[in-house]
Amino acid sequence: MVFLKRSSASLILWLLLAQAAFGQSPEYKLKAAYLCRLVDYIEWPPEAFSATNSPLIIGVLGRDPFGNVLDEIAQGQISGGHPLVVRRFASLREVADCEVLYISSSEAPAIDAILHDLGSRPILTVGDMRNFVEHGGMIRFFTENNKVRLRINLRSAKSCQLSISSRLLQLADKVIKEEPPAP
Amino acid sequence: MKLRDLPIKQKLTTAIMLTSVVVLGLTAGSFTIYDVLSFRKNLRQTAQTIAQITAAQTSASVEFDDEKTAGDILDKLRAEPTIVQAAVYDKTGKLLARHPLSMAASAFPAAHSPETRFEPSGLHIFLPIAVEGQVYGSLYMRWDLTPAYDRFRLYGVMALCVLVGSTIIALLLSHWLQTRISKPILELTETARAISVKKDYLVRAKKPGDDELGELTDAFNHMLTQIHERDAALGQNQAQLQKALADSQKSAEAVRALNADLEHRVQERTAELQAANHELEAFTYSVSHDLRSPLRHIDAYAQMLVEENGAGLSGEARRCIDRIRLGVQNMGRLVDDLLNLSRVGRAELQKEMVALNPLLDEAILDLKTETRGRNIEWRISPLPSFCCDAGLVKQVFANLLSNAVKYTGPRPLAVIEIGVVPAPDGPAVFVRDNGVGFNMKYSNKLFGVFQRLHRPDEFEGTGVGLATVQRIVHLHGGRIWADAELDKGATFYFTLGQPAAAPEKT
Repeated sequence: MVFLKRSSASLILWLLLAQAAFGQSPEYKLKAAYLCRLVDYIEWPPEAFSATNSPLIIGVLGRDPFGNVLDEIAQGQISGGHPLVVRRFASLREVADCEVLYISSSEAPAIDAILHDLGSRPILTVGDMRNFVEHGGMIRFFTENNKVRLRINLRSAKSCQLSISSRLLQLADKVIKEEPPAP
Repeated sequence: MKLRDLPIKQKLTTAIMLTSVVVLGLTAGSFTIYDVLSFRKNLRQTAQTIAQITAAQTSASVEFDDEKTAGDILDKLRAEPTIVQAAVYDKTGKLLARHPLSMAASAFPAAHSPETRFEPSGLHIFLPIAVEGQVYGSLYMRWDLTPAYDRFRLYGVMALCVLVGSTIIALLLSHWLQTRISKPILELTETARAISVKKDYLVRAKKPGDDELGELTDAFNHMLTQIHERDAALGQNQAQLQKALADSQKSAEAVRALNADLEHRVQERTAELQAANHELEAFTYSVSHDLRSPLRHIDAYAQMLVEENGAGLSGEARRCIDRIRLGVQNMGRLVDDLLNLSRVGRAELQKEMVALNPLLDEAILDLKTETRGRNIEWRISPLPSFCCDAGLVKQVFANLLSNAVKYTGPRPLAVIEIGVVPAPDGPAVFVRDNGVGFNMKYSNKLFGVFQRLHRPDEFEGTGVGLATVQRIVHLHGGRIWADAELDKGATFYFTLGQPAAAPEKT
């Protein structure tokens, strides 16, 4: 019962937060929450962090669809000893030190260039534009039957030395794996 | 019926049965308890492990609200049929996924705080689904305990089967043991009973082996040997005893025969003697009686001769006649004494209680003609009373006192003492004088008829008095004896049996 009470209490808190977020759409509230939860299922190479307790930076590139919601959710959250920190980048050039990069739909025309420029840096790329993973993005959020679903490009993640938990992979409707080795 | 009264066979059976049942019960019980405990422990561990794995597996689907994936994961629990229910709830308590799908959602419990509990319906586990310490939902699992319960039931059935089997084996064992343990004992018992009934101590019990029973049998047989030996010795002793008894009986019989013969002879002799005595007394009496009248005639005619012819008789003739008369008078006294003696012999005792002192006084008074002119000192002690014939006892005193007076004649002062001294057969009355006495070598002649120790010219007498005294004393069952010394006096003692009364003190 305690659990239930706590759950309902956090639900109410959640709703209040959502209301406070300038009337952001429920979809993006959920996506913001998911973005913060994703990090629990990703493993970065050790050199990605300068220290065991250095912040885990979630960057937003392009037009920010989340508003304050993302900051609210990330506030105080710690994953693997790293406190979550949200940064916003206007252009790719500003993108310096981050572990997760949400690429907004506003950057869709330059998606190939952005992904190419990021190269093999250990940055988890997340987006919700069409064909995001087909272009080399790592995780795409999309809505299906009023539910946010995932599509994962495991090949891109591996090329950047990131490993994605199988538990997360289970949730993906489709996982792009490594190309079969040439015969 | 108490255990100690049961036959050995039943005791053995009971012991074996009890042992097997108790051992089996304890074993089955401890195994069951151990099994139940270890089963629960193992099941709890296994179930928690699987629940934790499942919770971890479903954590992403709960975090990202993916019911389908959660359902897929739960569906894989089909491989473990003992998991009869499994469910995943989100943090609001909403049922996200369930297993099996065929079971209605209402059949699942509401989300619950973490716990693991055994219930009759199974093992219930609630676990939180958390990632990085953040709780996103909860997992429920119910494990079926029916197989375990079935297994325990099977244990019970098996224990029962083993119990029945072991009972049969115990019965067989006790039967087998009976031939090893109780049969020898029963045989021994039977042998003992047969021996006690037949008294045949040569029978020996068969030794079953070298165990305690064998020792018991040996001891029993040894005891039999000892009994047999003792019995034989006893028989021998008995035979000897019987022989001795027979011998003693024989000798006793011989003694008895001898006694009977002796008695017979005594009786015969007594009868002869009595007859002779009677004849003699009759003769004496008739002679004495018949002698009196001629004597009176002689005396009477001698007196007439003197009275009628006194003047014409010479002095010589008168002296002769006086001598004749003296002799006749002596003879008369003699005849009187003899008559008295024979009368005493035939008299019937007229016994009564008699005080001796008055009797003695009478006897002294009767002696006054003889004591006239004599200087006599009488010393008379108190005498006891006896049950006796007063007339006869007075004769005893009269005779003894008369003798005493007579034989103290030469003494200027006669001392006559009458008293009592103790004797083995009662008090002895004595009459002592300081007269002439007599020589003790003639004492055997004292009490004979016509036996005299003094010449008639010294002391007159008939020689019948003491014989009469002795007869009277004997008639009373007493004794008479004398003690004397020549010129020093004499003492006569007599007894009359036990006194009727002590002497009176004077």
